[in-house]
Amino acid sequence: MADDPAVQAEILKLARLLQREPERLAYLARLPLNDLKQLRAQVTETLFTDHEAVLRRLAAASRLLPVSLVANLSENTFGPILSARIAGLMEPERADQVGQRLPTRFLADIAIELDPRRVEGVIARIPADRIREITDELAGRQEYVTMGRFVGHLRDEALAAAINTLSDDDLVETFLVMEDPPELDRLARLTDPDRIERLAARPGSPIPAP
Amino acid sequence: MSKDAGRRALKEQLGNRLPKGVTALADEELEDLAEAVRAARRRQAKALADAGERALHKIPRLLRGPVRKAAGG
Repeated sequence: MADDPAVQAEILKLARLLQREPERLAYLARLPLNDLKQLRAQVTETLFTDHEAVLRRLAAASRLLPVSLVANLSENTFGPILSARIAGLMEPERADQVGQRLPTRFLADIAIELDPRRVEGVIARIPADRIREITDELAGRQEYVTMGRFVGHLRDEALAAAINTLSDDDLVETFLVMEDPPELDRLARLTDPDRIERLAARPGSPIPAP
Repeated sequence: MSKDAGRRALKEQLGNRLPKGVTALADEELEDLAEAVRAARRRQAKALADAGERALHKIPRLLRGPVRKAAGG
């Protein structure tokens, strides 16, 4: 497997999408990072738009049902992958109402499968406290790649809550595999200055000294 | 298998505009990648069909008709 954490992270994300062991895609480590990103974007687009008409109709039909039943069906019948696909096709307000009924553990399962760009409106509605709970759950599973995909999509308040719940180790691991160019000035603004200094001093830290 | 079979198979799954580095992979690697995408799409289609059917049985009888109609089933 590649030494570059960004390449490793891309292969891991692609393996997730394809439900494959990352080792079975080791040959992709020879690709330039940008080609890997483009490949993953194409696979994401293919999987998220396959059956989009059916998923869109399901999202529309769910409006006829009580929120509690939709949440129950999401958790116990559709599961995290299909729920992640449908979430982006629901009205953000309704998707948020369903999310409020779901346990943190299952929201973390969905987060792993989500394309954050397709659920911006839903993410923006999630209170910082809930973001903290989901972050805690993801950190417990060492889901740095998943957390790294969301950093650029969280409001300041939510990102600050996530930063404050992560240990130094978890925060550095997450920033190593961030989706977008690291928003280090935003991180610096939302983090205690003493902590930034401590993080920057760590060997191999992606965070520059203030 | 013909020489470009892997590349063709992957284009069938992802369209014609594959990243340059991807097209330079060995043909058996391209075929493996195409099969991985094909399998993921098949799994997703089956999961959707199965879940749709199971979901209908969990919905109150009174609502099944309207929901089935809205879902286009």
